[in-house]
Order: sequence, then C-alpha cells, then structure tokens
Amino acid sequence: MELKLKQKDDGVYELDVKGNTCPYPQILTELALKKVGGAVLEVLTDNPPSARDLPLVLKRRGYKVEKKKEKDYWRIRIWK
Amino acid sequence: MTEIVTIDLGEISRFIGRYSLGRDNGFDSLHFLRIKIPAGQIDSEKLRKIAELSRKYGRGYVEITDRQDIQLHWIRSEDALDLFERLYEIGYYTDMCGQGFSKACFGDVRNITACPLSGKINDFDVAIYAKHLTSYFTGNKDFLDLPRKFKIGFAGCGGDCLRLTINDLGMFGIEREAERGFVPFVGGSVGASQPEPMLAKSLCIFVPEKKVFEFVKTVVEIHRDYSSRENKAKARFKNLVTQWGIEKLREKIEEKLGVFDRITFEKPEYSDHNGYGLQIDGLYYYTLPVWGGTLSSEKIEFVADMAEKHGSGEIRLTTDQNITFVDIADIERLKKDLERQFEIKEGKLYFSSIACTSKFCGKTRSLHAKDLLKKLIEICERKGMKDLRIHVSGCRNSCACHQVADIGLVGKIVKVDGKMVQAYDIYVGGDFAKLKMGRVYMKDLYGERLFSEFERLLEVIGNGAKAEAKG
Repeated sequence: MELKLKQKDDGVYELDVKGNTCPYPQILTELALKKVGGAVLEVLTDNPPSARDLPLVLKRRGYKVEKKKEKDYWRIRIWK
Repeated sequence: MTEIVTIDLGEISRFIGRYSLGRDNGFDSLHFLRIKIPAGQIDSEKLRKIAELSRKYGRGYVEITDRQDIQLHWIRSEDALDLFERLYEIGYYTDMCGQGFSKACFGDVRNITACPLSGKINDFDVAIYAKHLTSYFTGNKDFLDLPRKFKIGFAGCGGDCLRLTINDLGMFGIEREAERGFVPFVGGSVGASQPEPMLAKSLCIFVPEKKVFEFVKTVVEIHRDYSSRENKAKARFKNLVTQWGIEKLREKIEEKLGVFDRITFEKPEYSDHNGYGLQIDGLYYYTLPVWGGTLSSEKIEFVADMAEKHGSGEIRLTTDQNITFVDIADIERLKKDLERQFEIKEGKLYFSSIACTSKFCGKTRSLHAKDLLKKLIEICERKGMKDLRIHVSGCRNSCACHQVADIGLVGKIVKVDGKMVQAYDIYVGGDFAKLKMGRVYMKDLYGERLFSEFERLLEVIGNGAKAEAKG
C-alpha cells in the first residue's frame, strides 16, 4: 500500500486522507511530514475526530497549524 | 505541473481496514478501542494479554460491551500502532468506527454475537458461524464501506438470550425435521435513525446450515448495494427493510440464492443463562453478573485465573455485559473463590441490567448511564425488587437498548432555570423476545424526582398493576 503526496506548488504538498478513521490520518500525516521536510503540508480529512485531534497533536510538537472547512472535509495546513 | 510523491506504508498496511480507534469525548479520554471478541469466546491467556494492554494503554480500565466486545478507553492515537501490533499477534481486530463520518459511508459488520453457551448446553454450536463470518468480513474491502454499520447475532439455545431482534440480521437456530438451520429476523435497530426504533421481523424462511454463510453474505451485500446513502439517518438496513417490505427482501435474496422453504415462525422465546446450569458433558456453566460490564485489568486477570483453576480456561462474554465461566466441575467452589473479588448476587436485576458508556462518549452529564444504573439497582434492592431488567442508555442512540427492558431509561439534556441539566425519560414494558417495544412512562426527570418517580414505579409494578404513561 502506498501513500500519494501531491506537490501543489513550490514548497507546498497536499495529502488526501479522506475516508480514513483514527488514527490513520495522524499516522499518515506524520509520515508525510517526514517526507516533505521543511515544506508546507496540507492534509485533507473528512473524519471529524481527526480534524479535532490533528491540530492539537501537531501544535504540541511545535508545528503551526491552520484548519479550514471546505465543503464536506477539512483542509489542515501544517508548517514549521 | 503536479508532482506525485509516493510513500510506502510498509507494516502499517496490514492494520488499515482491520483496526481503528473510536471517538471519545469525555472523562479526559479522546479515543476508545473496541476489541471484537467473536461470539464472545475468549481464553484465559488472551484475556491476560488484554489486561496487559489495558494496564499499559488504558489506565487499567476494561468494559464488556453489550455486543460481547472488550472496550478500553484513554487510548492515545500515538500508541495505536503498538496496540494494533499486539492485538494482531493474538488474532483480534476492532470495530472500524465509521460512525465518526458525517456521511452515510464506511459502515462495517460489527462484532458478531452468539449465544454464550453455544456448543455447551446443546451440540448446536452456532458460534462457529459467528467466527467464520467474522474472519470473512474482517479487512474485506468489499464490506468496509457499507452505508452504515451492520449487526448480526446467532441464537442456538432454543430461545433468544442475546436480544436477537435488535440486530440488522438475527439468526434464530432451530431444528426442523431432523435438519438444523436458522429463521432469519431482519431490520432491527433501536437507535434513533429512520424510520424509527424497531425490532427485527421474521423472514419466515428456513435457512439450512449449509447455506448460512452465503445467506448472511447476501443480506450484507443487499444492505451495501441498496440501503440509502443519501444521509446517515436513512442508511440503516431497517429503513430498506421498511421501504421494501419482507416480501420484496425475500425475493431479492432468493433471486441470488434460490428459494428457501417457508416456515411460520414469528417470535422467538425468551431465554437467559443467568446463574448456573448443566452442560451436555456433565460439567456446569456459571454466569457472573458484572454491573454495567465495568472491570479492571486486575479483575480480568483474576477471572482468567479462576477460569483456569475451576474450568477449561475458556470464558464467554455475554450481551448482558457479564462473564460466563464454562466447563466448571464445582460451582460452589468457583463462587466461593469469586467472592474474593466480586459481589455474588442472585436475581435478574443483577444479571440482565445493562448501561452504556455515555460518560466517555460525552453525551451525558452526571449522572451518567452506568452510575445511574448502580443507583437504581440500590433502590431496587431496598424495595426488594430483583426480578426485573433495567437498561440505561445515555442518549437516543439507544446503545443500551432501553426500549426492550422491563424498565428502560434514556438520557437527555433539559434546560432548567437557564441551566442545562441531565434528565432521563423512563420507558416500561419492553420485551425483546415478544417483539415488544417499551412505551414512555414519564419524561424529563432529573435530580431527586428521577429517583422518587422510579421508586413509585417499582411500587406500581410490585403491586402487580400496569404502569400507565404519565406526563
């Protein structure tokens, strides 16, 4: 099984984890953050508990996080 | 140009579709882990391993659910992969918990329940089907995106000991002309979803044992392919059964599997396995009442020790949130040992009363469902009323099936003098085996009035009078 990261822009990647329940959005986000290094990562999730938890956990780890609702999912923007 | 970067998921892949964490929102817990115990059958070694997991990851707290699962709380998502790895080693999986999504999607087949004495009090071992089907559905990509969850149960003791008719599909085991098989009951669900809370209806066909696997698979496929995906409220199988009617559903099944023999069988008889009884091999079973199904890691280790000391080491969890010891030679010695850690009491009140885990899901304020059940049991003891079943649900999702108990309570929040207060509605007269839903007795009770009205209701029931609905 593979995770697909889309490079949207220079230094901005997008990870679509819609359809995944906890804890996978968090686990997959961590894998993606390792891969993108210092770039910005935007995570798309439609799982409400993950939209609640991801910003909390990432902020504790020193990331800056912005969460925005788009249609029926959240876009969570993460950067250092 | 968009560039795609791929990351190999490696070991994580084997957990996706087999394990998940559920959402908690109370008591400082963000996640629960609901471990499926197929047919509720577990041995002492695995029970000890779950005790270890509970101690390491879940503050040593353990719940037996009313679907024969074991549920842990306070699970941190960062511990999830370690937990999944350890569960994988012992061969257990979890609910997929797709109820968190706002749309009608990612429903899965929940823990398949079975009579806790399957294969022990007669040789019709219906748990075999529960376990076989669990293996088939677990991680099966064709069944991980049902419109909503799907609940299946198997009864084989000659009665309904597991609230069969609250299931989407309840398989009632019978013997007919020296052939064993099942009468399926379809479309049960007592939650608030559309069209309304309802108990399953008989399909009035005989499904022989050799066709059980294909039959269940076909019914779940029909739910997957035809139940509404418009929204969550419309997506339970009961809604499809109501819209189609029994006849159309039967036709659809028979289009795929051929014609089944018709049988007149509308209602199962009630049964339970409270207390102790004789097995077919001359040994005994004993059901230990566990109030609200709550235990500690130490207590389940003790249960494992007792199962080994007095029996074969096997334990059966019940849909009444209890523990049934099987293969016991000497019941009195077992009970005497159990008294070291448990209160041994007799009466339907202790064996059959259940409550949901509302304090963790955040749907109730104090008094939460399990705490309320404890208080109600104390009132019943004071009034000398021990032959009744009480179910307490924290909210209208009816996780404790309050509509099918002698007395059922369902939580709600009401506004009193500008403040939000925890209240409960009381239902009376439910009976799952008679396919009878309870009716509202009193609404919006909170504080001391909840207890005084409950006490008054006990007096009415104690006097043999019928409890009439009040304001």
